[in-house]
Amino acid sequence: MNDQLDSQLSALSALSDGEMTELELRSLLKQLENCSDAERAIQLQKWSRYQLVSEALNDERGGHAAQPNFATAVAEAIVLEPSHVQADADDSTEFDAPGIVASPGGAPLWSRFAVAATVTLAVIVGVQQYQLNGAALGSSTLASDDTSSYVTAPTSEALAVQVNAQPVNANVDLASDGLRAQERLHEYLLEHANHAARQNGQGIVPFARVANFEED
Amino acid sequence: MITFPIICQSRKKISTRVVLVLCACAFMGSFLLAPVLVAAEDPEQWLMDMSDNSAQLNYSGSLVYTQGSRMDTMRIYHGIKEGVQHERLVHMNGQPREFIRRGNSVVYIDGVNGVTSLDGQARRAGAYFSETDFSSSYAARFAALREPYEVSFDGRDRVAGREVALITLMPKDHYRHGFELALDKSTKLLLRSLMMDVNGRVLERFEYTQIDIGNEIADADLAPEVLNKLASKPIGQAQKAPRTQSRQHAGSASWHVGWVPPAFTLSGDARVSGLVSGHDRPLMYSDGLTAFSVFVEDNANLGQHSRRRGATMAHTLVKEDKTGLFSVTVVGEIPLVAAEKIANSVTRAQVK
Repeated sequence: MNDQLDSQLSALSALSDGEMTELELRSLLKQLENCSDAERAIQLQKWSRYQLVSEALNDERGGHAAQPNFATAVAEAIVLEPSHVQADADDSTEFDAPGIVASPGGAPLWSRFAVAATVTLAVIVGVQQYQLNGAALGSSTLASDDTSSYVTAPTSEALAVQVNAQPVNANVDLASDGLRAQERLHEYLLEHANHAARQNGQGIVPFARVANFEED
Repeated sequence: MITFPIICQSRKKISTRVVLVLCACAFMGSFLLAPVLVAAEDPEQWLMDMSDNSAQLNYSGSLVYTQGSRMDTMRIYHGIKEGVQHERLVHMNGQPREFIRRGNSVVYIDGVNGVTSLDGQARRAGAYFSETDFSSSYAARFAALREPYEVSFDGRDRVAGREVALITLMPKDHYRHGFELALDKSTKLLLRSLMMDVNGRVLERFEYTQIDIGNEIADADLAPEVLNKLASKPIGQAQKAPRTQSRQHAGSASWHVGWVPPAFTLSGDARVSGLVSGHDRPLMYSDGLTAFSVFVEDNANLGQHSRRRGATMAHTLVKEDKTGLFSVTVVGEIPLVAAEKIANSVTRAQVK
């Protein structure tokens, strides 16, 4: 059991470094599908840490991650900056506070910094949350994680019900759902190629499309 | 007297020049008239000959298949052995994989899934193909191509060192793609095929770089190579690859496709029997040149997504009615707008 766990951890490390072939990835996904929930949780945690290390080594965060008090530091620095003379008298009603003036042609400079700092902080927190949830562990692009999709059945033979397509059990067995979906799509592609080859007089040539579709 | 030789020499020069000019005109005229001469024939007849000859002739060659920035090289072998068509398409790059055909049976072999019998898979899903499907006459379909396409000859070219006639098929609506086909002038075999979208962008190209026509094909060339590497069973004992659970059947429910693009007709047994829906089996349509298939399952396991690789589109939509959720997947060489509209039109019809 420990040997299997170690081999899976090695595979996760290879995945983070982009050194895993598609065959190895599929094998890893199958192993994760068949292991217990506890083992799977351990693997996902390890993978998220590997991802952080990999990104840091590859400088994918543009140098280094921002410090937690980055936004506060920026706001304090802005307050300590000397104010400028207001350029446009028409904007004076919006910017009455002493020391705070509108930069020519728009909102005050401090508000722009505040917006930028807020957005930066939200992105950092969002990325950390995304990674901690263990998303994208080789999951197929076919997995249902699009909460904005709609569901309709608009005919006289069925009720037209519009509901949000919530991803059922989105954080559980996501990899296995993606794998099953990919396998099912493979079956569909083969059946369709079989059909197309019999319908367009080109013989076996439509089968050439099948393998290319899978290799993303 | 002195002028006579001069006149004779002048006449010789003039005659020579006239002959040269006439020859040049004839030479250029042959190029200008060639499309007219070809066009005197019917492009639909060329397409019918293409399908007939592709089933009757022995040929082998190397071809290049491109989709966007991806390019694959393949070898193809086609031979007639004791009246039965044998065909093999093998990929020369990437993962080892190949398709083997014997008559109307096709198997797919690769290193991941092993041997997959497509006929067995199709029959499990409920699809039905007649025994003559691969070699059936396409006369009726090709004769009706002018309904969805503008069909015309478009000059000449050379492919794999052979002269070809170009036939363009421009779609009359935005529910299908256009084609430019290059047919060998001698045998009418398809040597190059371009599939283009509404903007003229090439979605898919397959083109022979070398072809040998008419010579006997060796048995060794028709035998699978990937199979030997897998140490699997002989092709006669192709195993069914149980990669997924069998599809759930919705009892007596059948499915109705409410809309298909113009000129597409249902293929196979369902068309013959007049049914317009299938009991959890794929519904397959073709306009003679383009095909798409509709797969329906009474669950939402596949999620919702659209995925396209080159000319092939796979669009899955989850729908809900009073019975529950079901997913519709449309696979075919059609634009997304067509796939979406088709999937949206699928409904469940309870059979009493």
